[in-house]
Amino acid sequence: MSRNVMERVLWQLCVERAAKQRFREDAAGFVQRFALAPDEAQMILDFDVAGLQAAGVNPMLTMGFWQELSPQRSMRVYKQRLGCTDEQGAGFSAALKG
Amino acid sequence: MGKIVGGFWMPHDPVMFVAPDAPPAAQRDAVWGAYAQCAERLAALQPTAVIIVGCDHYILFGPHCLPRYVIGTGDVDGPIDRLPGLDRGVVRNHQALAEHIVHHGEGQGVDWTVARSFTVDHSFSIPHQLVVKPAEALLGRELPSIPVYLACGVDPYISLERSADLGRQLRAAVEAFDADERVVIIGSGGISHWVGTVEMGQVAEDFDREILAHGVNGDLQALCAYRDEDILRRAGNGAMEIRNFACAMAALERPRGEVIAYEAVPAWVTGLGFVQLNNEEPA
Repeated sequence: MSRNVMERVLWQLCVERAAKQRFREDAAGFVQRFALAPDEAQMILDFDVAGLQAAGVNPMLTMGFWQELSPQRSMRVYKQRLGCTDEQGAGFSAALKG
Repeated sequence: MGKIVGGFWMPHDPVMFVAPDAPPAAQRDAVWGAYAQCAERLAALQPTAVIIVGCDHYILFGPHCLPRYVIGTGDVDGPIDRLPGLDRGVVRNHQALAEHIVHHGEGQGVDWTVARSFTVDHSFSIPHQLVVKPAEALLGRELPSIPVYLACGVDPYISLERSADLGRQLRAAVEAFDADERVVIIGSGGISHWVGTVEMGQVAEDFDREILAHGVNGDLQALCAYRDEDILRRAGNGAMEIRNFACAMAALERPRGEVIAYEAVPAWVTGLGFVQLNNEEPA
């Protein structure tokens, strides 16, 4: 696992406008530019935020990446993808239900 | 000779700006009112400059460069993250004092990373716009504000002890400054909150009240005794920002605190605590 490279990819996708645009146009082509293992690239393409966090990626980056580029962008869905319990989901902020 | 004449702890919760009406009215009024109180108390200290200790949220610095501590010595603007109701603009820095802190640190074994042109994030801008700017309006003059950033959000984290060392270094540098400066230091952050993790939305009031008690007692040793794994487990990755509290507390020679307000606000995903730190008079 290359946490450093995954964080670099996600950081660019969170803060660099040109990177976001390239990802939107051709996500697979974008991630191929980095030295990622196939499963690492797939986690990014799948917005597998739970897998990314399990690989050590900073949650601020997984959240930013999700909010910037995921098809759903809903923070409730984000928490569901992280495996939240019903209680955690029910208590989640109305401010972030997206 | 300059002097650190007081300090504050206060939060920098961006969700307040994204969804201002999400919590019950009593809670949101208490929080916005606490910022207003901090502004009045800041003005009452008759400061000439402010140091705001904030932290990056993996926006300003990337994995290519992750400084443990940074000081903005030159041009400052921001915030980089756009939030409704938080204006982006130029911030007046106190360049002479900031540069003096860097040079003084060199003689003390503290090698500051320097940002000569620095765009801050909301951890600086929320205290600056909700407290420093209103204090300027009350005083009728500008309060130059120096940004100091500690690594609280992205590992490798700065240690709590090192954060306190930097607070002491800031105090020594201010006291060695030529001008008759009256400096107030703001530790921006906390208290409990989980950012981007599955627990996001929880608030750990028991942890928060422990931290507030350390502030009231001026107990820097207790504040610096937490292990990172315990902070993360009990109060979330956002609570690592108590490093900024340690820095601000250590900048006062004999700190004693007063809680201005505390609200556990799940709707804003944070336990929001406000403390004023004063120098206790020697017996």
